Amino acid sequence: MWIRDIAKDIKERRVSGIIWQHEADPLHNKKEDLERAKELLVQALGEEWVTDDPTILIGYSRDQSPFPSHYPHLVVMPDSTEEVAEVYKIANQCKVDVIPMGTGLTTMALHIPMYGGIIMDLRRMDRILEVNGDDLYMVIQPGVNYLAAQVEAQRVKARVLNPSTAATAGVISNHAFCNINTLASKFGFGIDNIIDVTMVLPDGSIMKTGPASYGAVKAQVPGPGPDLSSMFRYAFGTLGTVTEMTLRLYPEQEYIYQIYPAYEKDDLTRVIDVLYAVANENLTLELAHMQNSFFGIFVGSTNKEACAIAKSMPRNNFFTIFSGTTMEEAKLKADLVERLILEMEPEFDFLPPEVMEDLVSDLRSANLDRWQKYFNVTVRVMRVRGSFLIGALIGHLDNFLEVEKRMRESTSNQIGHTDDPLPPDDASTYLQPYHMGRSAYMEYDLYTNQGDKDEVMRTFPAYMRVMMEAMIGEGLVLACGAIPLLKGMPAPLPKGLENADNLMPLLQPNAAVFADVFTEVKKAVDPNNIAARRWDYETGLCKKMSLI
Amino acid sequence: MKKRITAPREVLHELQADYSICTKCKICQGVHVQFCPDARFWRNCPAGTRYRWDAYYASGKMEIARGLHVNEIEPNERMAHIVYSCMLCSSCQEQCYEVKQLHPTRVFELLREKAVQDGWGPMPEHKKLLEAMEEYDNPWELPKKKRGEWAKGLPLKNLKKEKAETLFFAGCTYAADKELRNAVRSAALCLVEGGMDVGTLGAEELCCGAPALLVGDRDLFETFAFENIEVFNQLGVKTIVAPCSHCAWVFKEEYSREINQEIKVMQISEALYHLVAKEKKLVPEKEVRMKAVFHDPCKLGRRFDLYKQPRAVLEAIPGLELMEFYRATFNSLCCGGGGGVPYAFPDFALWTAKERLFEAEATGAEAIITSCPYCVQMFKKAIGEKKSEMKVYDLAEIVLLSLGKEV
Amino acid sequence: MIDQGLLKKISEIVGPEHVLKGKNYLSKYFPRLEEEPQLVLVRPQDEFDLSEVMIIASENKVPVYSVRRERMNDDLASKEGLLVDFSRMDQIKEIDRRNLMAHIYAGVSYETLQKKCLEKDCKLLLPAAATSRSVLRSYLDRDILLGSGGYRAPNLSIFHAVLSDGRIWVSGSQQMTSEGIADFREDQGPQFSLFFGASEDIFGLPFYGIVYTYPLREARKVLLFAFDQLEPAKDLAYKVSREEHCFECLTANSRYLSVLCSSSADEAEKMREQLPPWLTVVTLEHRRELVELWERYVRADAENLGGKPLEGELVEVIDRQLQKPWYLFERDYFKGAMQHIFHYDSYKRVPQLFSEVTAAAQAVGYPAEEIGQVIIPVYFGGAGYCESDLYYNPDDSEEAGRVEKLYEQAYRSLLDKKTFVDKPVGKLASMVYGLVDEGFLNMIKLFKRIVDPAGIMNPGQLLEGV
Repeated sequence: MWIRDIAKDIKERRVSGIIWQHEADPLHNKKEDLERAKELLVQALGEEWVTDDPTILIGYSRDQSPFPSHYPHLVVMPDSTEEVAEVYKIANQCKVDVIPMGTGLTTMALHIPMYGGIIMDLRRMDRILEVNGDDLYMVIQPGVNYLAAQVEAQRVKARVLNPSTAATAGVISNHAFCNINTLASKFGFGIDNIIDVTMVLPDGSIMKTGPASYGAVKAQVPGPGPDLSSMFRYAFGTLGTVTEMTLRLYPEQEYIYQIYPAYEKDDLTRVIDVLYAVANENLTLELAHMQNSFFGIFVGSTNKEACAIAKSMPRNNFFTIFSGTTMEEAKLKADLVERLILEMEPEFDFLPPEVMEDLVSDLRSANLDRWQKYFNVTVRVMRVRGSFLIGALIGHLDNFLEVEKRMRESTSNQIGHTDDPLPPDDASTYLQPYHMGRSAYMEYDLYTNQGDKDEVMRTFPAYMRVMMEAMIGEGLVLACGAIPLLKGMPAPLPKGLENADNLMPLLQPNAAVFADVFTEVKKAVDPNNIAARRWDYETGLCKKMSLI
Repeated sequence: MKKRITAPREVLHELQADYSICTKCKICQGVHVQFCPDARFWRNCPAGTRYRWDAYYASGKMEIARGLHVNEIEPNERMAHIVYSCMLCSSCQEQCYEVKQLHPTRVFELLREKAVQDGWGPMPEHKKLLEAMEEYDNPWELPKKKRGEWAKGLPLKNLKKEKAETLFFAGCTYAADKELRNAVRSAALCLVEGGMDVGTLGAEELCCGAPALLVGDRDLFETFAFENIEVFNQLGVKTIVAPCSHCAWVFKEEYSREINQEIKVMQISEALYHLVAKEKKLVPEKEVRMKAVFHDPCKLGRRFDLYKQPRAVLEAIPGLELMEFYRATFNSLCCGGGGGVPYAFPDFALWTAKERLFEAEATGAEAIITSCPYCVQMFKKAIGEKKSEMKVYDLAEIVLLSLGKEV
Repeated sequence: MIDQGLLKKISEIVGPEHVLKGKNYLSKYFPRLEEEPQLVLVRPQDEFDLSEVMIIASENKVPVYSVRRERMNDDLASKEGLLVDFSRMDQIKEIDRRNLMAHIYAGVSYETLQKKCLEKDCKLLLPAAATSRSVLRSYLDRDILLGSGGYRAPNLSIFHAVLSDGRIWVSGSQQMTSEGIADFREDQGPQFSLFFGASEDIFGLPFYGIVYTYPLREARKVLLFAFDQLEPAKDLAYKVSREEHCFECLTANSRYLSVLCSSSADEAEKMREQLPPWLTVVTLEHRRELVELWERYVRADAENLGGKPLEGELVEVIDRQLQKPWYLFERDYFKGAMQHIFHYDSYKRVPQLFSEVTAAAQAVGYPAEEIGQVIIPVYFGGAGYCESDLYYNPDDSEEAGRVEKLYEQAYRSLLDKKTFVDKPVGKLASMVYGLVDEGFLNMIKLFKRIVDPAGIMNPGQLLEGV
């Protein structure tokens, strides 16, 4: 028997793999509706940009989350705001769901089509429409990634805030989600950097906000009147798709200087005090606290580099970069901060820059000069073990002291601990002050290997447990907006909790008012519930609870 | 019909850990972030850039491999298009391996082998090449008697008749394409000028098998490999120099287990590096006035890290101003000639070549220098199509020019 | 006429002394009131009062207006409904120095809060053109702040507002957590809370908020540079802002500064004589060494642009002024009233746009040299806040008419040039909203329908019909 015949034989004997989807919905994504939708979409976008070929669909079936594959029924690639509007109109007409996808880099299954429907891949809309270095803004489409945006910004002596994600992440979709970045102490993140948007609502109507609302100059401020520009943030496609955004840029000073404050003790008590003080000073261009493995991940470009750096670094490190119009200015700022840190805590060390240079001298891409000045961007976070689970919380810095302890305890109890700097079951913390330390972002990562199911099985419960510890025990909030997580995102909720807005009033009555209004807006702009549909809105419970 | 041999080999599912772990971070789609000076040139996957669907990028093809493995999807025409429009340039692997230690290029090569094995590959146009290989011992239907014509008049020994220390393995493309004749003759002559004792296999030279391997027909490749290895091992040569980067690739990567360990395999740019930059047996003295960019052939740079060698040679050429592409060295964009794509999808291959030509023009260079017959062919086509003023040279041609010699 | 029974119920909630009618009480908000107003003033003590009042108003479909400015538009006085004044809700709940936030009610004024903040080793950023003394109101309305050259963050973190049905809208992280845990400004879902800013309270009545404070610095320096022309003067402001060498920064003409820094018309005229045509003010605040370094840079920049450094008493006068909130209504003293034209634009276009205003002035016969003008950089000079002040005697109907004409003509011309106007109200609102995208207006209307289905919350205040 030929090998190919044996393979055929085996294949026929096997239980065929099925395209894994949620149970079929009685109202949406019906076969005949999908066929009609395809016809209409082909008419609207052209045959080249509409497909239901499984070979294409499979490319949209998984992401960095541990979710199994879910195929869309159709994938379309519109090229303009008008075409996006057409897609929504057709979807409404045919009762087919639409999930927009920016560049498709997600850790939370944000564009994985749980019920199938249409994936609207926006990567044909990848134009940087305008860059203005003098007036510090950039107008972009959703297919633009940080790599392209940052290079364009730097060409005009400005920069886009570097988020803690890969350079290939979409700028607009990142602004719809966390947009955490190491410049947040000075410049904030997410909504702090949006000047205006053009958005297609789920009913196919177009909304322009801010200066774009009447073609005015991009004058940095929101309005006129009510600021609608961030409505899409944390809406995850449920309220439509942003097709253009004016992004605020920041001036890039000519000189950059970095110091390496480090604290060997594995204790955040003094670290947090010092972090408050440094953030208050507001002299750093970039400021973050990173435990050693985070530092490795931020500075190194590869696993090898990350491990080498992580092994050599003390447990707690500050990521402190200063800028100036002269090197004298950048160095003076660094010197003042160094003095402040030592006044507060003499046990802090400062690694000499030469040591860092030596540390990375053998590494191909971790050139410190280039890294600081050119693209100290985008942390390649997904590198470590193929996948990782992020615990991303927002709170006052002080609150993280206890949270970190408890998270670590939970993790260790659950999955053990090894001494390797980047073992699969290690965890690492990153504290990111926001607006001069008024709030902060805390990331607690568990590195895992998505290809190793056993490892995922060990890590996942630990992740859930530590997050619950933090959220319920300490009352912190998720950095990605807790309500959509419960309401809209394909969060790892057990079956029966899909209509998770039932939970919200129990968690917080204030959330009930918000969720009720959110539901009403959703129903109004998306009466057929076709936009990024994850759940049924009208349970009525939020309304009732919100009135109590 | 050639005798087919079966050799131990990898199969696709052995790379399951690779394609299952790919989490669509998309870094495979662009150049390294720290080395992108211009937003126009951040993309680095020709097929993904041209066809846009995620399935055409490495991340999508990894998912196709996974889908095939678990029987989620069946091969179809589109899948063949996706699998065979990949140029196997390895740009994706260059980025991905650094970060996640995955091997997308290997997955795609094995995907093609699976396609051939399962009967949905290669593309019909590739089948013609394979048939030609079986009939003519080369994919270009070059009759055996014409195989050695390129070397006419050159002071090269015939290794079938006499001994020499170095085998100059011209390769089918250099032997067949008259437009490349100056390049291949220059290469051979440079070696002779450098004092090397050089011979060829003349009309007896066979295809290295690379075209078969590229399209996934490992059986046919093994047949050629088997015969070539036997010949090489019997010749008693110390060195094999191949001007073609594809020949050098298979010799180094595929033949190496079976080839005599004493035989050193070099691509011409390595040989020239030794002769010009290291041993200084060749001293370029004549000015070659031009602004030129060096295009790194994928099989040369990404496979063997041969980046600095050709540059060192060019830096030794008086009058030559060496510039760099925006996407250079490990970030280099494919010329469009890789992976057998020009035969199955000539329009797409030409589109890619034009993209690269546009980039060369944007640098302000007057000439592209490279060291691969497919790259030269693709650039020539693109220049003709765009009516560009750009010139294209093989590295050896420039060296010979600067030596003041002619072929 | 509001039903007496209803007023009685409201009196029972807030106390009869806080439910007031008549010119005597309302003239505080409407100083030029002629006829007996229809509005009934209600002064709740806390959010519970406020919520209950709203429930009653909602049940009875009585319009509720809020005191949003020191001086409200006279047209409002004749409307029937309740006017909610937050002046009794003036508690400072907490000044959290560690997290640089102050937890305050809507009735807290800049003056009060700044005093308390200074005691706690921190301070507020003060407004350059506020229409209300309320810090919460001013920050919600995105008033231009004097320190926006040095600190660019938004200054409001979280707010609470009463919706028309009495429910409390809580913004930011407090939707999910208690106060003091995160106090993070972002909503836990789509950012609807931003809708409330500069909305003229059509969605709800904000009564409580958490505002940003800033640490006091070791050293402070005020630098003044005189210029004959606007161009180099604004270039200096742009440069120091872009290079992050300033805390406060502005460029103003002599008319603006003289009115701002004086308290009588005579004094203002006298002061003007001592001022250069254009003055760029740069303040530096931080550690001593850094302030010294920045001073060197700024002086060099000014010299390169031909700016003449000014020292002496004027520095003190300006510095004193910078320690106070700048209220637009405080400039009325000069001629009896002041109308201001403000917009945001690219720094490059400022001279051209100011010329549009002076051209309009010439066209209507208003003396162009009497227009007070100021430019304040925002976001590192990414844009400039531009203000042109028109001083006039409101009792001189001819002059008042000219100013009104000038106001309209100047805005028309500025809008033609696509300048950006934030938070337009009154006539300007019709002009601006007449231009804006239909989708934008539809979303405002939709949100209004959802949070205020009966339309009782400040009806017609943002825009007629909304």
